[in-house]
Amino acid sequence: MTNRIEKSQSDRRRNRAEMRDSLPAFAFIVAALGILILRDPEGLSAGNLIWAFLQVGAVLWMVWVQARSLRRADEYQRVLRLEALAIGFAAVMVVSFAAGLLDALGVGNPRQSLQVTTMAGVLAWTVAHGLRTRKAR
Amino acid sequence: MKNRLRELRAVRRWSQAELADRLDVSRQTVNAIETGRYDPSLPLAFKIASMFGERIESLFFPMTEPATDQDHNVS
Repeated sequence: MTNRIEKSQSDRRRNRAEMRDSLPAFAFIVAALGILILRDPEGLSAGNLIWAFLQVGAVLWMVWVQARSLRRADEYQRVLRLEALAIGFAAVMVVSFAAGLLDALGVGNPRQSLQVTTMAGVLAWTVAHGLRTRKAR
Repeated sequence: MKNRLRELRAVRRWSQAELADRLDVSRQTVNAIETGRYDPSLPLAFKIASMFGERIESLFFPMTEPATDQDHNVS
């Protein structure tokens, strides 16, 4: 009677809506990263400004996707998501503090540190959410 | 908090997914409530109680046993 991996209609509806929201945003991020790889932006120019705003646009789009997903989630899923977000935020604080110390010692490149901090935060958030969701299956 | 959700669901032969659909929550949420990993909000608890035609206090109860008269008399 109890199928532990069976999904409810509301699960399917939420998953479909999430895919619909996140796929274009993900494609946009890939395109923005492609531009980053193809051209190495240095100095202030109209092209570089457009590139920078593209990156910000991609991040804002993902924030919008997450906000919609959070609104769609039921109360328990919302708790799991917010806990994971809190872990991601803690990771960003720890890594940015470490990056700041390294920068003060003259070690590393601040631009790379910023990218590593962002990636660490997103990674911690994603892994925490994945683990909590898997545990709660 | 303990609850009788699994027992009442079994009586009606509903799967977790079916109950989740009736409550408009995820199956994961039903599972978490049944296993005591998550205590539902008051609105959801009332919705569950009304779905099973039970009073909320007959569905959900604390882990600890209610205090007895003997406990109250201990000085």
